[in-house]
Amino acid sequence: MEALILLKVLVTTIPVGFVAALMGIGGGSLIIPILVTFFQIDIKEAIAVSIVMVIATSISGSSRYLKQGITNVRLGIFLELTTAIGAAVGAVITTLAPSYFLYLLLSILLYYLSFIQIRTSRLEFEKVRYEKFTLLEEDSIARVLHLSDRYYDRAEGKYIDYNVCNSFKGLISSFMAGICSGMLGIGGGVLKVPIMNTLMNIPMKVAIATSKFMMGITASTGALIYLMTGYVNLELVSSTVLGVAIGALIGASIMNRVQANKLKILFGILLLYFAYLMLARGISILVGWRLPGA
Amino acid sequence: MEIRKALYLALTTGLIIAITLYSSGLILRLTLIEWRVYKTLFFIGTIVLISTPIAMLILSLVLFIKNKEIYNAAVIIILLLLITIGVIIGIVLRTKGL
Repeated sequence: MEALILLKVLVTTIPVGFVAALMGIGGGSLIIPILVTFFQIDIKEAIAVSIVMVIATSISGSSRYLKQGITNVRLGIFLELTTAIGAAVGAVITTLAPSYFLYLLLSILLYYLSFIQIRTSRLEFEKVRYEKFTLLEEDSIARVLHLSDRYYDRAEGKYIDYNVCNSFKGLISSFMAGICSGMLGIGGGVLKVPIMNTLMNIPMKVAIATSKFMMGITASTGALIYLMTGYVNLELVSSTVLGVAIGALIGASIMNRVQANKLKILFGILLLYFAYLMLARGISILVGWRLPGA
Repeated sequence: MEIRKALYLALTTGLIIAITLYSSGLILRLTLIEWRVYKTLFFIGTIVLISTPIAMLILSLVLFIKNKEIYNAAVIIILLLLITIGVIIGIVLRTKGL
């Protein structure tokens, strides 16, 4: 691979790391089209690179969030349990349903979640401002595992306490998110953040930071398999990792300064992009139309 | 030590080592095309990067046991077992071309 291309990849991937850290996603769905479209990288090679890249965005993003005290470590490890099982099950049962059906189904779900995120952005603002995250009682699982916590919100200039609710439902939903991840090859971040925020009463910033923390663990399993079976282009990985690590450090530095409601609207818009992506892929398989991004 | 601070230190150390190896490799790659040392640096960097989240889990396990948080420690042990099984199955399936 030419040295100039490696430098171009490094520079191009900086914004990907930035968005991934800011929104709590892995960034695989952003980097793969870039590598395939602009650098003519083979899709399988791009997927292997993106998995290693997800670890880099996760580590650089979540190290900052851990330092700022936003990440809920116990919650992340608890939900990771079923996400990992779901991803394995998803990879195994991927042939049971036609892929176009799964893409279209996920597209509908993402459009719905996007609508919910944008619609409840004002509510998030009020919950943070008027400390309403403690109004609901924590459940028994959250109590036993000490899942409820607090974080310092820089935009509001105060500590926000929150009680974790619906832990069991969250566990089941994470399993479903893992299945989607395993079956369709999308990162779980786009599903895990709304699950934590909407279902489990987790503040948006904590959901983003915890999602970022979780995805490094999931991705390391896949990356290890790809590396040991010789699928990873190490030259491409080096420049991609350097680029996204720089972007993720910048993204993670500013996330806590952004107001929660604005973050939620941005996340809703990002979900719209993913919903379109899934729709385009579904249509491409079903009727053969090649929409942009499919 | 507080768990978040310990994990922050572990992740930062892993990231700094990986980035140093990648940067050194990339500089060698850009300046000395024929020198194959950069490939070794890229490989070790990738190994460090991939191992960091797992090392972080093991560190969490140690801290939970130290803090007598038995349930959380049990969750991590199950998770580590699942990861091990997942890696073994994945490698077997990939080497068989499935």
